[in-house]
Amino acid sequence: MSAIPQRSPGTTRRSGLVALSLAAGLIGGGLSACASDDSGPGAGRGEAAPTTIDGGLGRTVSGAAGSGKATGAPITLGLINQQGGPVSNPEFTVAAQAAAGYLNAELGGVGGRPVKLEVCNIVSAESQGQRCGQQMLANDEIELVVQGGLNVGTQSFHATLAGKKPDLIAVANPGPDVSAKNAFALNASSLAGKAATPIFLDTKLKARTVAMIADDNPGNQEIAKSIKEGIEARGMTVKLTTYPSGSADLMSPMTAVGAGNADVIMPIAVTPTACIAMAKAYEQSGIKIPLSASGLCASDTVRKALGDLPKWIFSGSLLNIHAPDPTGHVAFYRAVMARYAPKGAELGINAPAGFAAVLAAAKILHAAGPDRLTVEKVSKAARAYTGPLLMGPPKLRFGSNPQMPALGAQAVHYYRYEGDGKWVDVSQGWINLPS
Amino acid sequence: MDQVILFILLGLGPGALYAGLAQSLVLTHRGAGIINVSAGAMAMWGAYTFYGLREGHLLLPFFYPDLGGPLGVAPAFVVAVLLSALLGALIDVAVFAWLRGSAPLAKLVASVGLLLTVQAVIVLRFGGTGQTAPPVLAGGGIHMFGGTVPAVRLEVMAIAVVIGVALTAAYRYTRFGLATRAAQEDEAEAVMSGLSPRGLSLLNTTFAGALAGAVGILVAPMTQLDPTTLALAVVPALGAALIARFTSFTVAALAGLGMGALQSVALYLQTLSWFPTSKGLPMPGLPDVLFFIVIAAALMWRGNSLPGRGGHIEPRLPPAPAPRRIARPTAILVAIGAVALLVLPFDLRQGFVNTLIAVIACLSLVVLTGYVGQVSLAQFAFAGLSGLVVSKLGIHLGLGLPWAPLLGIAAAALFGLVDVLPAMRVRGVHLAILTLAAAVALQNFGFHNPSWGAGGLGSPVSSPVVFGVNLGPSGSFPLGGGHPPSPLFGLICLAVTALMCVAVANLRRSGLGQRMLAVRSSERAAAAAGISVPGIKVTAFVISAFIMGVVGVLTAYNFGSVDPANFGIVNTLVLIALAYLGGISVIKGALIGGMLMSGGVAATIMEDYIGLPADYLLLFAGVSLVLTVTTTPAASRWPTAGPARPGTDRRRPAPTPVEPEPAGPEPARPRP
Repeated sequence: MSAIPQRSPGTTRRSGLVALSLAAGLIGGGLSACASDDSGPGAGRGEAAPTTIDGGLGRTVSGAAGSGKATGAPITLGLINQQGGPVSNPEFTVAAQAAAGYLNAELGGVGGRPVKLEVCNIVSAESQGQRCGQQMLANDEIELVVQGGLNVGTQSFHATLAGKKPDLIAVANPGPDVSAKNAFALNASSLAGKAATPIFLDTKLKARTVAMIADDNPGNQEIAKSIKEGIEARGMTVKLTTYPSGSADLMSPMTAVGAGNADVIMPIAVTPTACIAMAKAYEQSGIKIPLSASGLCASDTVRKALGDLPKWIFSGSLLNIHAPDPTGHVAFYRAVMARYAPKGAELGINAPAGFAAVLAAAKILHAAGPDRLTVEKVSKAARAYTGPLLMGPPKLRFGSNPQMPALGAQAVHYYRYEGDGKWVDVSQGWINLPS
Repeated sequence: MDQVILFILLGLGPGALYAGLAQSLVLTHRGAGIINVSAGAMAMWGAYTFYGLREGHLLLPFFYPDLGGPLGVAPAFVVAVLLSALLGALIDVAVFAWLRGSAPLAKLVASVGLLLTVQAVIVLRFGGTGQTAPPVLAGGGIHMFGGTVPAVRLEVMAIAVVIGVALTAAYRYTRFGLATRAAQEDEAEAVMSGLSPRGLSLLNTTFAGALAGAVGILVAPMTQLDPTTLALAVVPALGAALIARFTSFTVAALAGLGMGALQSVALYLQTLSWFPTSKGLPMPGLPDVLFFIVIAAALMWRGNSLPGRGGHIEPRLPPAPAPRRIARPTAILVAIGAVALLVLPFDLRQGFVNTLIAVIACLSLVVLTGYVGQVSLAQFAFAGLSGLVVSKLGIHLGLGLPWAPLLGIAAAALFGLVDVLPAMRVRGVHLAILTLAAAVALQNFGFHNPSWGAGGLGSPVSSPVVFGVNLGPSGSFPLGGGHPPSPLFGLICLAVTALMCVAVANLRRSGLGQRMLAVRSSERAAAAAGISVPGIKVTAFVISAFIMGVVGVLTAYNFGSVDPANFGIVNTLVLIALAYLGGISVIKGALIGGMLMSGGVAATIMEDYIGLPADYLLLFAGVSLVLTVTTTPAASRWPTAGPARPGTDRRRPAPTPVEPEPAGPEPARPRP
């Protein structure tokens, strides 16, 4: 019997100083798995919500000119979200509603008209995507649809909507989201990862070998495939394995993919359960290789389950809400959520995307002229939208990528968590901003 | 070699789950004579109960009372196992006890109803989102064979083996065990010896519930706690139980562990450079294909020697009267349907379109189960294949109407033929198990495959266009308010449904239909009358698959994509439940079943107009199936799996009365 796999000296050299420092940061840390106490050492540490809302920033990102309560006839926004099934993002809707509440209460809505959300949820079936599309088309009051991250129902939703109403995609996934007619993706999510992750791994982590682990959920496979292709295109070697989507046993895939011998580990974990399982396997294996995960893993649910967030690198196509943010966007988001979202609402995962998308929608509606909205005017305004997107890249440009014309940007920001609430901006800004 | 051993050890975790479930299956089969496909659901119930107790709640159907704080690990484990045992006892008293005189296939279908019911209760309480299960066993990692093996794997393996040995000893040396074996081998003689098969069934099913629950609790931390994973773990467990001939606990334990090891080694092999990939990705669902192969091999190998408790029973299905009038009711219903498509609001119109497609799906079971008495758990797999062919032909060859749908339907029929070939050797309940494994394998290996499957987010399907007219749901139509779905697409679905109803009705009236009923009534009698029983079964399977091929084509055009989720095993289970509820042997039943299917008219009204979650439909389907199988007179009239094994039927009278002829105006007249 031998001990845990050791990296060869050559491999260690290749990983570079950044990787070594990451590994050093991880040594001795160890995750306190299985703790379920809310008052765990990392729970909410140093993250008390700001109490003052920066109204100026609110007006900038929402295009609002007024203030106070909106009183006119409501403007209805369609909101599609995936909720209630194996992949569920209820926080997206909660945050979107909080943004609408803030907009209506303090910024005069859109041109004095309050914003109303008509929500349609996709649980787990393609038929629900179709139903949501039909619901959006049948409601003549809806001129703009805001779409959450969907990994089921996307085809039928886009096939039904068919570009007849503009679709503001808050979280885009590989597939029809990137090329749907009259669709505008604010947040490229994993597609941003495809473009930016190889650059980050190559230039910042100096990685040459990457161990990828994904479950066999078709949506996640698609994400894994696109990121793998991007990394390989940059000359790095990727070993990828998949495991049954219902499994929380990640020791086997970790071992199968030779995680101990790679320069960096990249799990495609998009649900808290998968993130928690990954963290437990990472701890159990005793591996100290840097692990780069989606920012979706930096959630309160994960922190609650593990006692603290794992000491990983977290990527995000929006700013990390836990990390220091000199722009003030995160403080604004936290302050509004503290006032307008239900107590204890999840602030991470897809919540920032839902929040930012509603404010972006407001800006588009303002630009279209809120008094006489038509589908054509809103579509034109959406196409011309360049930001600034709250917590997003400083600039968006739709149509800049001919293969994926719906994407506004594919930029990503990377942070490393060092424990005790301390975060480091390891990418030193956005990577792969649109030109 | 070290790596292979390492992965075998890592596979012991899921292997323990399969081993425990296989042992639970053996217990239920020994005690109640039932192949309980809800064993995985019982494990899931135990795991969720434990989860609830650790969260400070007691899990009850429709109630989740607060206990004032979480229970400790040990008391929560004990309480959860006791509650699982109670569930087993309840199932025996409320369901299995009523099926003692039923044929094995009826019992299997009842256990399908139980699976759906338990799953629905869990979905209604916890939703479909996975939870992180609380751990019971502790232990760090052990470094061996070049890797780290969590100690928990070895602990659960040891527990599975110890349980296997203990159960073997108990059934060999204790009075209870010997009595159970006696009742299993010959129930009539056991009764004459003063034993109570009913009491023994109760005890065995109670133990089976406790065992399944305990295994679920122990293994859930290695799986995600969700409504599907543990429930469908019954598929490899069935393979292990088949290897054990539903008799040996130790063999079941070892076979289950072997299935886990197989799964784990497959994971390892997929990372090797020489192993085939699919567009650079490991092939999903490979373990499910291996499980299918193991089950098929076990059935081929041990098919004739598997214990066929109740296999001697040859009662009949509900009446399948030949329709006297076809044209007039069809015309009336088509006229009503056409008006409905034009006047209904968009959501009910879509619900009606979904209902029409579901009616056709139910018709496939009218032919297969209602006319021939066979059960297939792969119906929606046929439909998915057909839809996928339509999609791929459109994407890669630009083929549309009429070739793509025709080829799609042909592919489904061909797959139906391939799927039924084992029927030459495997019958009835075992064939149903095989189709279950095939459906899971096709779903995960076929539809999810990045190369030839539906891809990550479904495979797109272009709208059907003829002479520039869009016939799909997104096409325009002067009536119907201008909102999708297009009434024209609904009218096409209505026409196809009417055509299929007429065809199935005529099939019943034809000579082929009469021969099918003859096979359904008695395979032996049919064979004696010169009817080719395998030929009739193969024909029925192919016709049934053909009909599901039509369903696949319409579904693909309906959604504009082929999503694997539409063609999963749970949908097939719900289809069986609702088709059986409506009336499995008559076209009227298919119409009722279609109304109740997910996304249909009833579901739309329930969800959009009453505000009840659609998950209640799953509960309704499960409960209805159990009630229908257990309470109606037809419950004891399911056809036998096949000729009784020599020496079994001559000693025992059939415990339920057998009607002289199938009811209906036209008795079966097999050809000489």
